[in-house]
Amino acid sequence: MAEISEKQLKVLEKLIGDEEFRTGFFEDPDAAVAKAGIELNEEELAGLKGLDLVTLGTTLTDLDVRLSKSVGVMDVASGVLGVVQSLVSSQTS
Amino acid sequence: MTLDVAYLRMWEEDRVSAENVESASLWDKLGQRVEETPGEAVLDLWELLGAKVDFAKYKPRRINIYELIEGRTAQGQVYYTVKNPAAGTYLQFGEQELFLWNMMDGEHSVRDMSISFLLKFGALPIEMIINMLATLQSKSFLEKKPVNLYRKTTQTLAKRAMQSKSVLYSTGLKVIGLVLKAFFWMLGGNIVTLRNIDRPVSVFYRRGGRLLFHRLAQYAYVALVILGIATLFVGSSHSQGNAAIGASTIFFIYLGLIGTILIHEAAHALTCKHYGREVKDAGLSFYLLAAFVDTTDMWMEPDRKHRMAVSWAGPYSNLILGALCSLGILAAPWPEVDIVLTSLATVNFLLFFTNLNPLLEWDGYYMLMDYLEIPCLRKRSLDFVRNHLGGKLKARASFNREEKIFAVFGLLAGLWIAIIIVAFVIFLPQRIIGRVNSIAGWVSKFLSRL
Repeated sequence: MAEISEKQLKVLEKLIGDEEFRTGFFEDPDAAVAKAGIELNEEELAGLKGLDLVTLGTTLTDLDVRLSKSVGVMDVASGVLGVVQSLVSSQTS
Repeated sequence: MTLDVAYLRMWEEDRVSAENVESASLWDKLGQRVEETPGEAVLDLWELLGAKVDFAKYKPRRINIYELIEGRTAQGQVYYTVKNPAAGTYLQFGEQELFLWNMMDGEHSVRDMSISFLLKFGALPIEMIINMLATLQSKSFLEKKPVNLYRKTTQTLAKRAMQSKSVLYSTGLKVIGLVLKAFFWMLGGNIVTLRNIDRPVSVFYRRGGRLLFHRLAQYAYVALVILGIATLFVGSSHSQGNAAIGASTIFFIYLGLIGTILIHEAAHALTCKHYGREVKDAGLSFYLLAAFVDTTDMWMEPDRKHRMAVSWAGPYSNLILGALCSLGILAAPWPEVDIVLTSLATVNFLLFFTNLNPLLEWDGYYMLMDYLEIPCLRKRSLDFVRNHLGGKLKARASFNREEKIFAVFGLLAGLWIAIIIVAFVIFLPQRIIGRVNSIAGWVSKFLSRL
């Protein structure tokens, strides 16, 4: 939208601040605008109908805490020790 | 009349009229609405904002002190990472959110932001602004807190939690909680946490730690690893059959394990300092042999290779330690030393591989996440598999790059979790019996001495 008329601006402001109007506008723009008492010509209405409101995605990401964890050392160690112990006992016997 | 002129004029007029509106009106009204309807889903912002609240006039103000860096992915996509140093929170977003962030100066209303955004990007970002405000608020990035909404929300949720708790406790969860508490006590899971360790780590880095990153040191590590692995094939000069695993051997292995995890965590912390970022907290459990170091500040490092280096440093230290122990075996004067070094070498080599497993939130996971440049990979993948994968497969829809990664990683991570749960359930009784037996053994020995 390179240029916006004052009437279009009124509709935009209503779209931002009025949830009921917004819902109505995306169901039936003509009826919603008429109900709000804003008179738009065809060109103005066509410009507003082309608005991208629904598909706008966001890349906002809440970043994770980065924790380096040394876990499972005991498990690995006990496993290794068990193997070493069995090796020692087998060699002794 | 172009929008710029019309908009600026109307904006100026509205600024005057908006000053007459109570500054916290939006949040007050939202708070009232929450108070009036305690049984409703209070976190549905759309629903809340639908209550004829003058959202358009709300003027969000971002915090004054923050750190913001610009990064670029391998695909050339620009992103921004912002940090709240006081709260220690981090967010990442794209150009569109940056545009909105820059307008959150307490002077521009949501309406101003929306229209300016429309002019620049050709779309109305209403939902984006609502979601962004909610996230910024929850992560303490907004200066003027919309207290009422969140206070009431928290209160309502807390009240609900209390109600549900009382029901749950009455059904016996208190007993389960006590059993679990006792179990974790048996495992000795108490971790000693050291807060704000950045200063001592910085001092250590400056007074010699930085030499570990010298090019010569890097060559030495590579040579050590090659020699150490080669030694594995040579074998020991001692016959372990002459040795017995006594208390002193176990004690030295235990000391070696403590050293292993300390060096592993120190490697992460020092590499983090090497790239000029802050090391927050660290912790260690002497009994469970678990430790952690918080390197969250690496999010502020735009080069993914540097972030990956911090994660790689831990397992790499295990590889070097394993190689050192392996070389030490050749020079071991007694069979007992041989056993200690063999055990430590094996543990370190195993830890090297286990830490590189990307399916759990260990070092390998952070490396993969940074390599792919997808923050929160695990959370997002599991969410995708849970909520979107089925629908996409049913509709035979195509998958983009991220979705393919989420699907593969999410399924593998889910499978791994299932394997761990099954293994835990199977081996848990053995572990408990083993612990009880050892405690019973100590008690009986003590009693027999008496």
